Amino acid sequence: MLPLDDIAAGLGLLFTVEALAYLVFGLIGGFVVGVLPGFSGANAAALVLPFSIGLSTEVALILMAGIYAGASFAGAVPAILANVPGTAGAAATALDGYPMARQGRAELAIGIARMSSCLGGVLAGVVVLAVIGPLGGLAMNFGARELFVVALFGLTIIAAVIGDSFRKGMIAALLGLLIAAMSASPLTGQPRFTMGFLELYQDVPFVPAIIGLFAVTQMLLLARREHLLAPDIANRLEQGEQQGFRHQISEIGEGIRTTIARPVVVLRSSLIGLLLGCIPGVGTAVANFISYGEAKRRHKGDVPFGKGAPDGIIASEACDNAVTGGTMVPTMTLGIPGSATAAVMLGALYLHGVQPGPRVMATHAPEVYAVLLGLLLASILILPLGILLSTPMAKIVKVSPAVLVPTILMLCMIGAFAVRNSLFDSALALTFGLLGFFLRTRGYPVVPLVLALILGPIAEANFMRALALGNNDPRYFFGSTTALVMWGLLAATVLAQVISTMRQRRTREEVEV
Amino acid sequence: MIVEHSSQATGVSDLLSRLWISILFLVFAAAFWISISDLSGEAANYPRAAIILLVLFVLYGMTADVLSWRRGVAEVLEDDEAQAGEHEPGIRGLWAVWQRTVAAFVLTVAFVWAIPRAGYYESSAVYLLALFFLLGVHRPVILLPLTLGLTVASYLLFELVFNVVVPSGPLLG
Repeated sequence: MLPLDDIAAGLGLLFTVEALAYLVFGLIGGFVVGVLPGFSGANAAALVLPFSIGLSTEVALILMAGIYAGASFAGAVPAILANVPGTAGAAATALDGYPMARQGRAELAIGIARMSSCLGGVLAGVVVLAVIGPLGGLAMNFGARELFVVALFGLTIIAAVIGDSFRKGMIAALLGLLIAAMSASPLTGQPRFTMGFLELYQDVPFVPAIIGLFAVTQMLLLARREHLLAPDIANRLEQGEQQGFRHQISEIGEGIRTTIARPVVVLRSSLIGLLLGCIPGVGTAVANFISYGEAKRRHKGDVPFGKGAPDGIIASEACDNAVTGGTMVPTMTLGIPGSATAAVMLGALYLHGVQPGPRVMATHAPEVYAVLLGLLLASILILPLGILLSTPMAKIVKVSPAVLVPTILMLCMIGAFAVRNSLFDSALALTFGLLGFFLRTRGYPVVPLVLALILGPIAEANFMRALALGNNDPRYFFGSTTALVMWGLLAATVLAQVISTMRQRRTREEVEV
Repeated sequence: MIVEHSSQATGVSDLLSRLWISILFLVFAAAFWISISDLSGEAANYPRAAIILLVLFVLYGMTADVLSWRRGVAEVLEDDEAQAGEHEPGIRGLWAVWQRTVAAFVLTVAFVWAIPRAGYYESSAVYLLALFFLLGVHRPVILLPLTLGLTVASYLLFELVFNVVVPSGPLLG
């Protein structure tokens, strides 16, 4: 049954001038970072995280929801116009969007992408609104042992699906667990590898870690480049967006009609995105390619896939924004972030003194519904705002890294400082930035590390609690059906990854030899 | 997209380029283990379990890396953004690729060091000016207004909008 009171309270929180203004601000910010290749919603959300401390919990989360939805859509624009996906999720969009643009129908492709994003986001948002209450109720039955196994499972599956190898993902996750343990023990208060820094006694500060691993790392990687995009591609992108407003409107109108005429593709792609989004760490790139592949398998239209088929763009974009809604399910009900941006949103919850996890739905349901409704509204606003802002969005890619890097690094340092008025936190952000830089240059993903920083303290606290409840008997961890199912899933994930890694290595070595 | 790592170094330096980060992980794990060696079981068991798992995964990776190196299998990395591109082998080649990154990092360290000594806004003006210049903004008509504009904008934003209390210097704050 729908918790209508909580939804109504969420609507009340969303429909205030402040919340709506921040939602639009977040959407525009998301459009900007989504267009920039290499940037993601997580980068922008990490940057605004410390400054959101002055906002109420729901407004801070609504701001990030706007960034999330905006970035999810905007990545499609450079993918269609220049074959350069702004975000990983837009990679599948380029497969048919770019050929359509080369046929002189770029605005039609963007219109299809806008409408598909809008419909995917709205459909997923409505389903999530309906199911998150009952799912939150189920999660309330989880005890310490279940929460410990869920945290382990979340980390394992994220390590498995992100990056180029399970082993590297697991190393990043375990490194994150250890860094999270560099604090006073939650049971005895004894300091563990804090190196004499009093600032580390109360858990590793989360905000500097997020700023460092997402924003500083990205800037250090970007510093070596002279241009965000090759000049010829940037010019092509800008020219493609300068065909006049009336032309845009007519083409976009056709794009909307084209999308609405394919309800099955929209529904199927949104469903795939929603379901895969619920699995922590799967991410939009994987989900979009699955959705694209499914649409290709069932395609019977005149235009073949890869040559500008509208179904290809719909499959990728509807799925992309549906994933955004899906990631909110594990994030809000279990406290396990479904994506990097959702991890930053969890950071915002911490920052506002809200402990993420199953109890969030019991203690802060109106705020959760306000965020979900904000995502839904953001999906609708993509349509008009996307039309208005498409020309300025295309100009953003011409910004030079020489200007971008110092500006963002300065903001990172003051952002890390602002939360606790501590320069130690600025230095910590820089340290995490360097760590992230080393990890990424050696092919290690940073997302499992970030999630381990969140889940580490949760895993440890529940591990110790479960151990005490079971009188130090390890069999207690296998003493419930839910725990057994989670252990089974965990073992299956590890086994599948080990087999897959061995097969990949054998194939690679055979090719090399 | 999977891209073949393009380091052309061979022999021991190639092996070291594959293993250095694993060695750092092991050093971190050893330092952590030693630092908690005198703690009670309740405080130390959880990090010890994580250290053991980390060491197992790292050793497994190192073994795989050494075997691949001995068979002459090229290293494959997957992060377009992190790819260094073609460069000359050795330190000089790496420096050519990453010198701007080193400049950005070193100047940011200096910036954080200078904030409590010279004040936030004064330090950020000098930092922005230096880093813009080092990364390639050389024309004074762009460099100076850009630095000044960003410093003033950050002053207005942090002092008036966000009320962030930053370390004050001789001029502002």
